[in-house]
Amino acid sequence: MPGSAELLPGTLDLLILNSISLGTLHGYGVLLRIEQISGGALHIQQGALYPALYRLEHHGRIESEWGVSENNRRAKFYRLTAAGRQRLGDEVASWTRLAEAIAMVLGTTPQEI
Amino acid sequence: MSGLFSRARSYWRGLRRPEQLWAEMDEEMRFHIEMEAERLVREQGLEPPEARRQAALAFGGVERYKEEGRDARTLGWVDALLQDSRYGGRVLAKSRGFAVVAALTIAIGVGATTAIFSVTNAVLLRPLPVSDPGSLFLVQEQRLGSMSSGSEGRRIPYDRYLEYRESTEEVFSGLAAQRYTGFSVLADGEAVAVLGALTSGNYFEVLGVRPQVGRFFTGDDEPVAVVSHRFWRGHLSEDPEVVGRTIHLNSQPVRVVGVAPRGFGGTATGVGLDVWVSMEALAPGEGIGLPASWVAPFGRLRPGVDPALAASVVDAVARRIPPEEPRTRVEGALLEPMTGMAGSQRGAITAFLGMLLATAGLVLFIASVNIAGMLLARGVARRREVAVRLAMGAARGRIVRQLLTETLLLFVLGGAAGILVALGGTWLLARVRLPGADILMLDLSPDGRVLGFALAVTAATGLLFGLVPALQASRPDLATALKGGGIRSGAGSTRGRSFFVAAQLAMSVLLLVTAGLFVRSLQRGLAVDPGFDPDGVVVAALNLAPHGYDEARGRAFYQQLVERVRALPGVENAALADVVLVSGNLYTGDIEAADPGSSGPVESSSAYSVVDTSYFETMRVELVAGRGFSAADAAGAPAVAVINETFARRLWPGGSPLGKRFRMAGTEIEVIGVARDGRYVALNEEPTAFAFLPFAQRYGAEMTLHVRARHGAEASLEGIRREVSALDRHVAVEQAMPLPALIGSSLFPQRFAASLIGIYGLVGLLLAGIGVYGVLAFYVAQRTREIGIRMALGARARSVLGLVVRRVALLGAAGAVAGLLLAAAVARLLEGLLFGVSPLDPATYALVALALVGVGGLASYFPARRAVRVDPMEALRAE
Repeated sequence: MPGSAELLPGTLDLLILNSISLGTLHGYGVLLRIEQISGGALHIQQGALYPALYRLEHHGRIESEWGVSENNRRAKFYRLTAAGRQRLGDEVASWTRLAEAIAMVLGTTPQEI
Repeated sequence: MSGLFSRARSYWRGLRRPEQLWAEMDEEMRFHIEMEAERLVREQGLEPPEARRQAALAFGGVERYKEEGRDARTLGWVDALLQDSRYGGRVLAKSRGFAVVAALTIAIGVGATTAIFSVTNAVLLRPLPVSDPGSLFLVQEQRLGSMSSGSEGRRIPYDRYLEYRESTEEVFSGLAAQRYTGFSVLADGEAVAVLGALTSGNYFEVLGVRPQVGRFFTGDDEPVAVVSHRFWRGHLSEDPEVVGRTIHLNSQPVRVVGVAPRGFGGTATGVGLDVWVSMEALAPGEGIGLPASWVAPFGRLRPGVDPALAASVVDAVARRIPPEEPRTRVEGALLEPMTGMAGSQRGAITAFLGMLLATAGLVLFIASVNIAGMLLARGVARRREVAVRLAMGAARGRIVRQLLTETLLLFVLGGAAGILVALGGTWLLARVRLPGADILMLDLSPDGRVLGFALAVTAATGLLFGLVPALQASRPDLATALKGGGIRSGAGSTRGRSFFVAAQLAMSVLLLVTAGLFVRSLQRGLAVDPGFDPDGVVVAALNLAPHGYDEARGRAFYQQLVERVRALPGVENAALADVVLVSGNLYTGDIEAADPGSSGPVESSSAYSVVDTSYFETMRVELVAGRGFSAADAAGAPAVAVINETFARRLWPGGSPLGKRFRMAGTEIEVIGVARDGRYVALNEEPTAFAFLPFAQRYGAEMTLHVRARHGAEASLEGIRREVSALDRHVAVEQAMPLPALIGSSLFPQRFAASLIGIYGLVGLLLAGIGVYGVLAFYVAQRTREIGIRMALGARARSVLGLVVRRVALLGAAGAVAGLLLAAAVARLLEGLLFGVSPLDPATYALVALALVGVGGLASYFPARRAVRVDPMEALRAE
């Protein structure tokens, strides 16, 4: 496993939006997906997810709905709103630009992150 | 934008059901931990209790995240504001005394300003009580030759108005016309003089006003009248069956068809019309006893029509219609927006109200400075608290914001109280009875604009005067503050406060000097000898012309009236004159000496008045030569006159004018008597030439009865009314009041200004005095240690006193000098309003300076006493 990276502030929102964009999830599911996709390289304090989720919901980027989980328990599911999708696109674009710029500065070719 | 909406919605939800949200977060997080625990059991084979423990650890503090979750739902600044307000409220509740004093101070300042603004609003800002006043325009013809204009606008012949109406249909949805007319109305057995208007039939339609009772004009073929709500209430007993009742206008019976809505008194601000009669039902030339041929037109623009276009249409029509007589030339017409006040008046009134508003502004300034001073003092007292908060990591900006919120809360409280003060003030103002101003109709009640003004003033002063104390109090000078030496390190703020207190004193001085000058000029004005004795005289004006009296009937009426009134018990004498002297109205005519050979100027002009034979005796006018009028000076006899000294000097300097002749208005008149110079138009006028002419030789239908009686005015007036009514119940008595009051009313603006500015000045001085006390008390408290040391080292009470006194003297002197200089400058500006008084009148300035010394002394008494009483041991021990 490559070295785990500390999460830069503000990137948590981006990761959450991205995870949810792949399908409606409840909070735990978001956590799993982030860990899954990053191959365990990204560590977040599990509970810190929730204030971020609430903040995103507060700003209208995601919306929530109570439903039933895969093991028949009550859970809150989140999905992207149109505004959230828009925001995700913008953020990904600016991240990509940033990453390319840094990579160029560091003199390496862009690799898969 | 959508972000803001969703945030507001989410915030609102959070506000309404916090427990539900809390429970939901709880459930969600518990679900998460359970799922994680299950995974650990599945993937790592842990025992359930151990799995749950590890899951909880991995999760972190549930409570903490729930709190963060709740914080995530804030609306940022609104939340902070509410928090600050709640905190501020608690702080103020603890120091109730301070809060009350401060709120009262603010109330005075805001109340004073808002009261004046109410008046300004009622007079200048409030639109007419008609629908869409912005689309109403006066049609003002520009003409050379015969002209007629009144306060309702420039007038044109009625037929001409009808032509305008036909030709301007595409730009005006309606063109109406009016002419103000005085009516003598007999209703409910009492004849009353009112101001009304003769109008076109569509008058109310064009204005967009709906009747309160009954209807308006709808093409009646006999003259009908609409009365005002005020008249209906005051003289028709608010009779619900008023429609169809007959009242008498100028002795003619007229049916009432409707009552205008409450608050409607015509199209001029402040003037309350009481009767409207449609001209369309009157025969040409008939106007219920008055000629109604000339009217002032106004119209409502059709929606979407450009005023410039309408103006050009009207102008074209004006030039096209041939003038009613060949000597007149019409040069076009203009449109003037109907604002309720003629442009010429607006300027003077705005200036007067502006001055009053500035005065109130000064009071507000003084009050606010006091508040700022109090806040500065409190800031120093709370140094510790603020220092602790800063030390714990609070941002300075946050503290400033919180202190400012506290101040604003205080100001809001004070502002609300201020509105109540203003309401009381305007209520008092409305009670002021201006003599002869029964037509005045002014709605002083507060509306949105007034409340908005009060709010704006409160907020602005709160921010302005709260900012500096807040900044001062939150200065990050932690070390000293925490060490407790904070009290002493307020030197800078004391200097600032002293400056402001000196400013307050200066403002009070300015107000008091201005008021004092007004009062003095009033005194001078009232002390002037008008050339007759007004005390004990009442006057009553009558007009017989509208009732169709010719000269014979009129003379008979007046003669009978004078005889009957003279016979009343308590009446010493009664006389007739066509005007009341020194009431602002006078006739003037050109004169020239008929005897050539006099060395002085032969042409001049003179004011004159027509009086009867008993006038000089009744009014106690002194004749220095010759005689007054007698029965010999009758209609057929040679024309005579009594002139005053100035007249004689002008035309025949250096010799006796008795027997000399002069020409006026084509008549040759002989001088039979000379009266001592007096005042004729206003109390402060220059010497004016004046002539008295005999009533017997010049009839006028409008005469004023002057009655000198031994008993009170009310009884005399009652008697007069009774006698007039007995002779002809249709004739109304106007301007019935004691003569001194009528003369005094011409000085009303000065009197009002003097009273108001005087009151404000005293209030300002009181507040400034409190300010002085505040600064001194603070100063003494600061220097307690120093005083203690001095006394311990042997200083006597006197030198300690000297410290305090020197401080006060410095403050007072600075304030006084600044104030007196400022007052002198302002007084120079107001020179036009002050008569007989120099803007540098020493008595006034000296008196005010004395008042300042008095207040300063009083304000410093307690701090000085405390300073002297300082116990050195106590002072040294305390910190």
